[in-house]
Amino acid sequence: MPLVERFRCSRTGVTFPSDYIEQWGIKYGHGLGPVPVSEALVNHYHSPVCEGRNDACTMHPVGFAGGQLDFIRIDESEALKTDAILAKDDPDMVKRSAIMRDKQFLKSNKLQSMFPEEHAKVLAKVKVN
Amino acid sequence: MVLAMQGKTSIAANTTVNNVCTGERYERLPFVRQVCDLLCTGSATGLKAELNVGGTSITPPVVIGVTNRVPLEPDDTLLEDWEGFAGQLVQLSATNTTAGALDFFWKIKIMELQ
Repeated sequence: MPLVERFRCSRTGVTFPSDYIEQWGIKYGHGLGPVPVSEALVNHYHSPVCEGRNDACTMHPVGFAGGQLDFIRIDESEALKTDAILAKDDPDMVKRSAIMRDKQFLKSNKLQSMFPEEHAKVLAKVKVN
Repeated sequence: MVLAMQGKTSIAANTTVNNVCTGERYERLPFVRQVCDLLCTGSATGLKAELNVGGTSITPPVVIGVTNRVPLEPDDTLLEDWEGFAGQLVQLSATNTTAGALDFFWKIKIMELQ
């Protein structure tokens, strides 16, 4: 498989397109300041679970990773697995918050006890993958 | 004299916290006359802040910067030198327009006018 160019977040391991730095502030990183950093999301387990209007929105807060970006060349198949969902493609954070919430089930005792059935589904999904 | 309030408030998805200063020591302005600064940031894109003081709108809902840490001067200053009088309620609202819970970091500096 051909090698493709990516920028990898040093904090989360997700990858961004090769024009990420060149297009910083234009296509990527809106509102994140002048220095290109990772716009990947991380979970704030130190903040309490916020109860949203429905169960699907009840989760710990998230924040942007802000990690250093490393230039890499990887297999295209590997890139398909690690490519991040970009903020420009998910402006209301619908897709990304669902992924982050699933990750929170693996570490947050509070969420596990609030939604035990969902916790079991997430564990089953992780085992399959 | 200069006083300050600073905090981090978690805002659930698609919700508004009407006043992040509720229960804070200087929720009602302490001096006869003062000027104040508002600094705020968010943990990710999608937060808006609105400031009302004594029933007067100081800012409409405005998009705030994203730094994922407590606000620093002067970079994260949203508005400087807004005036207030003794006993006026400071109402700082935060709205989360996204589908994920976010943290809202805020600071209000209160400088007494002699």
